[in-house]
Amino acid sequence: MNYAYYPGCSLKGSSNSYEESLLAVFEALGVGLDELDDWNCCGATAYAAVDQMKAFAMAARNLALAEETAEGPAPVDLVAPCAGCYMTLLKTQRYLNRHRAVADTIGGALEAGGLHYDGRVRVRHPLDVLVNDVGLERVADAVIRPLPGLRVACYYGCLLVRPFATFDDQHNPMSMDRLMTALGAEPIDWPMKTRCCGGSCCGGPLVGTIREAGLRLISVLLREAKRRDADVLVTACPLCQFNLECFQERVGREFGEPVELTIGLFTQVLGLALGLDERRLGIHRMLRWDLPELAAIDGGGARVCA
Amino acid sequence: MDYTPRRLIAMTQAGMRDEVLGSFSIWVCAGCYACTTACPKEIPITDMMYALKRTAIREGVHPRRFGTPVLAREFVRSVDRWGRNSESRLAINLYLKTHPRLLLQDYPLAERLRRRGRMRLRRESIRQRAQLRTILRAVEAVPDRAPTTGGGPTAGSEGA
Repeated sequence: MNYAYYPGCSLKGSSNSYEESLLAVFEALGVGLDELDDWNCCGATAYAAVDQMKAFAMAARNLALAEETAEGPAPVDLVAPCAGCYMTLLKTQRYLNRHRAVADTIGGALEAGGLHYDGRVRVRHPLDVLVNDVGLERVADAVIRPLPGLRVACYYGCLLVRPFATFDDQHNPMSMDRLMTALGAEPIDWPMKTRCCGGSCCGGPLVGTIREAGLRLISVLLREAKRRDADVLVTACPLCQFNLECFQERVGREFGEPVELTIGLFTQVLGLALGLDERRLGIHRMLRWDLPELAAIDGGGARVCA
Repeated sequence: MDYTPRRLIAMTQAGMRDEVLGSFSIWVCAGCYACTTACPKEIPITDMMYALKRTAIREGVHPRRFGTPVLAREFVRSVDRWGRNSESRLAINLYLKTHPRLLLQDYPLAERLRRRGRMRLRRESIRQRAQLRTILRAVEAVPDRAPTTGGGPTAGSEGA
C-alpha cells in the first residue's frame, strides 16, 4: 500500500515530531508514504482571510501535482496529516466541484503554470487510512507493547470533522477512540472532543492574536480532561498539539490554577504500542512527556472494539 | 465579541457597513466551523466571517497593531513569494509588527522549542517559485473574480 503524502509546513517545523512518528508507524505497519515533490503551502486558513480565490489556487497546485504522480483514471490518495491542510484541500475540491467560476479561474491559472487538475485526488487523513484501509485488527495484531490502564483523552479538534466529516461522525467522532482501544488503552468519555482549542487565537505559532480568548479555550479543555483523570491528551492536528502544550504554564498563571497534562500526537501513542523507540517518535521533542508506569500485561491487553 | 453572528448577519442585510466591518466579532471568530455545521438553515457563517475579514483588510478598517489581520497579511506575503511558510520567521515578524514587548516575555518558550529542534530560522521554499507566481498572477488577472461566501451546504457528513 502506497500513498502520496502532503506534509504541510507545520510538520516540517514546530511539529516535526508528528512527521517522525507518522512515518515510523506507517513504516511499521507496511504502509508507504511518498512525499509530494515540491509541494507548496496549502494556503491554510489565513490566506482565506485575504484572498479566497488565490487561496484556492495555492491548494489546487498541490492537487495537480498529486494527480501527476499516477496515470489516470485511477484515483490518487493524498494523505494530509495536518487538520488545517486537510480541511483546506477538501474545501478547495468542494468549490472546484460546485462553482463553475472557481473551476474556470483555477483551471485557467493552473494551465498558465503548465499544470492541470482533473479531480482524481482523494484527500485522506492518516487516522482515516489507519482505521479504514489498514484496519484496526491489523493494528491490534501489530501491537507488541499494549497500554492497559492508560487513560487517553482523544481530541479531534475542529477542522478534522468540520465542516466536512468524511470518515467519522461530525458531532461524536470515534475513530481515534477505537484506535486507542485497539492498543489496549482506555479512551475517556468526554464532551470536548471537537471543541475549538483556540489555536488560531493564541496561535501563529507563539504569537498571540487574541490571546485572552485562546487561553480560556485551552483552560476549559485541559481542566475537563484532568477532571476525568486523563493521563494524556492525544490530537490529530499539529496546531492543536502545539497550542495545548506550549501555553499550559501561561494558562496556569492567568487562571490561577495550574494544569499540567501531556499532549501527544495519536501517532506517538500508537508508536509506543507498536514497540517503536521513543526517539523515532519524536518524544524527546515534547515539552512534557509524563505517562504513568503501565502494569505488565499477562496474556495480551490489546483488543478491538468494533 | 461585540455582536453575535446572528446580529452581524442582520446588520449586513441592513447595510450597516461601517459597524459590521469595524466590529471586533469578526476577528474573534477562530474559524472552527461549529456554527456552520449547527445552523439549521445551512448558512455558511464561517465563510461569511472570512468574507467580512477580507473586506475589512482590503479597506484597512481593522484596529491598528491588531494581530489577526497582520498575521494574515504577513503570512500571504511570505507564502506568495516562497511557496512555503517559515513558521519561526513569521512569528518573529509578527511580534515585531504587533507587540514587540511580548517577544521578551515569550523568549524562554521559544528557546525551549529551539533546543528541541522545533524552531528553526531556516527559510523554507519550493523550487518552482516562478510557476507558483505565474499561477497566482493568472488568478489576479481574472476580472470580477472571488466568490466570497456560498459554496452550498457544507454541513452534514457527505464527502468532498
